[in-house]
Amino acid sequence: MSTPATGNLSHDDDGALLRVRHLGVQFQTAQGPLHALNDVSLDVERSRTLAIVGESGSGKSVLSRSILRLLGPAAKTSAEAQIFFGAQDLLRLDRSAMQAVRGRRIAMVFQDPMTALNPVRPIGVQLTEGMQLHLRLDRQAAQARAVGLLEQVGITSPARRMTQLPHELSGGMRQRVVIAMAIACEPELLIADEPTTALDVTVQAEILDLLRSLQRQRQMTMILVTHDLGVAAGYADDIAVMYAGQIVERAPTAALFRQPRMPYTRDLLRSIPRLDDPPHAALYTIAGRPPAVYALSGGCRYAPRCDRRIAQCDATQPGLESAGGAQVFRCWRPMELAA
Amino acid sequence: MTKNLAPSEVAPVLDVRDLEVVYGLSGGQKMRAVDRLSFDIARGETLALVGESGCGKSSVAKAVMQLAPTAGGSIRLEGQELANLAAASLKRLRRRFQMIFQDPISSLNPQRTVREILEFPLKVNGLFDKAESGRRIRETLDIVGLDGQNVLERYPHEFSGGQCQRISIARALILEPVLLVCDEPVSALDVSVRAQVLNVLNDLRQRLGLSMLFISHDLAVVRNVADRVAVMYLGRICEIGAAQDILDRPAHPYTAALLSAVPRTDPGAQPQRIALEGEMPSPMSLPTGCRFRTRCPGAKAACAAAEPPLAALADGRQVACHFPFSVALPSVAAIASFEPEEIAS
Repeated sequence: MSTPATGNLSHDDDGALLRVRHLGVQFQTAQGPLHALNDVSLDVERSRTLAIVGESGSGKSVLSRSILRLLGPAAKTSAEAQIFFGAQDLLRLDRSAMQAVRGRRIAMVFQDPMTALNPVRPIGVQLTEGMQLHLRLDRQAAQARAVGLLEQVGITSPARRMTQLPHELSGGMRQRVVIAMAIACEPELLIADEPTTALDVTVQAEILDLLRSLQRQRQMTMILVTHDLGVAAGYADDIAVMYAGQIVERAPTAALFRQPRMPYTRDLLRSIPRLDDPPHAALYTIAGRPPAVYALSGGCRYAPRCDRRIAQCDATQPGLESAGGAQVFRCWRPMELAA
Repeated sequence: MTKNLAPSEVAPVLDVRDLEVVYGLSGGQKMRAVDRLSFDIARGETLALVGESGCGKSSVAKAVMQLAPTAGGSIRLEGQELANLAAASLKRLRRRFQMIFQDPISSLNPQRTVREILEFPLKVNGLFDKAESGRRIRETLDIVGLDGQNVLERYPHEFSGGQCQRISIARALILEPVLLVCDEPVSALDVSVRAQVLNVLNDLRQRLGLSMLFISHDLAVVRNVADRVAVMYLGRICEIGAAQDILDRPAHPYTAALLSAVPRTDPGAQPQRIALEGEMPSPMSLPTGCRFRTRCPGAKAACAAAEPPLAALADGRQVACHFPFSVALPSVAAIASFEPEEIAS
């Protein structure tokens, strides 16, 4: 695994399909510019699943949407930002070139399948239009392929489903349709933004299993955006933790859970209730609340809530550094490695 | 306010018998959301009602709160029947049972200060007294971990989701209820604030001896707050008993399947998943016999023939299953290996 460089991009193809460099996004608000993302650099390696985890407002969805350039005109992307997908900088593609990437080479699955689907058009029509546009299939070929896709995502009697409207399906089935649409053009990268948050736990497990098997079969690269550390633990190869618009820790999944280095990661892990805790166990609570970032100056963004804070934390912002190995973290006083 | 009586020494705070909730659909059809459901909650006890969407758990909460009409059965609060109570009598009783909702922000009036939000229930119930109420409000805010000096003149939008949920809990507590009905109270909250609210709820149980009916789909949260658990499927309870017994050694295959689907945060701790067949049937067309059999990996011919009644096992829990798992088994992982048989039609 490579360590995300903090410097500028060198063109050695080290297995990363997507390389985000110095991405900043700000929104104009009544209180001034809100920095939703700040200096985010991230590599997503080919054929692996990277989970981006964080709480509301941490910037995880802004990050996933900015890769596909789905943020509205209110969002301002920093001038120095680069998002390399292979050799192309997505931020510098013109509209039609971006259109050719979106849905074709990078596809997205959203949280709520009901709003991702058009409620008044049959599933078959919605499923085939992308293929007709991107793959230039004729109607019949697209229809045949759509039936095959529905079957692959575990939908029974797929031919009959083609004529149904979204509301005739259950939530889990709808999300399967959305996944079928997303993989229809065989994208190299699939971004799943909270794909199971609206679903029941047994359905969630089925959908995540489906995404994992599709990812493996097709050697697809996947970004899984989630607030649920359990989902990340079970389905991601690597995890990036976000806090207040920055990546604060990134590590292979097992390492992150075994040995978090950034205190925020540790605090998140110890504040979640677990099935093997004793009943009524007091949970660790993190004091205060995540900041809304209006000024980029100042120290570590987690410092006001951190129990390992030292003077340096208030004075200077730590960079995303490696202590050797694949794990990187933004912290002046990281958790010590156990012997 | 605190009484340290063991739950068994007193009558249940809430006693629900054969509860039925039926919704009328267009075309004169009727949908039975809750079907002859019975449970009770002792003083100082938290009962969690768990299950997936459509199982009827929120309908039970609404029926208990008298927010949904009941089609049958009885709901007794401290021995007093709530169903068919006249509006005036119900209003007098209401301060004894209060509710908190899933979305803390939309359940607070954005145009009222915290002081006004907390004074309102006192005024409505004729308990408002300027000097006395100020003290009571500060005490209640203290119980939920908010600083009465600082928050009183502020508005809901100035608080985080977790703080808003604590304000709603304070609003529910100000009338000193005996029963708190919580409908998914932490589902909308982020991880770091969820812990604060769960700690407050656990603290209330201990300090005030409050009884709680806790509706949740999240089994790890349930593990943290519940003394007993009732698992619902299609309007009925399929398993009810001590939380630790049920969550450590489920006897009903549906409980086991639910538990096996919960994502664990310790990589490698994930038990083998018990996959369910198909989807939950519509309550309009229930299968014959056991209502879970169409999805049960262990269904046999007997399951189609007769609906299994809730029957007690050796450890005191009750299970509605013809072939429950032996509760002597050590762990969830061990039961994932049972052999599914052909599902009887």
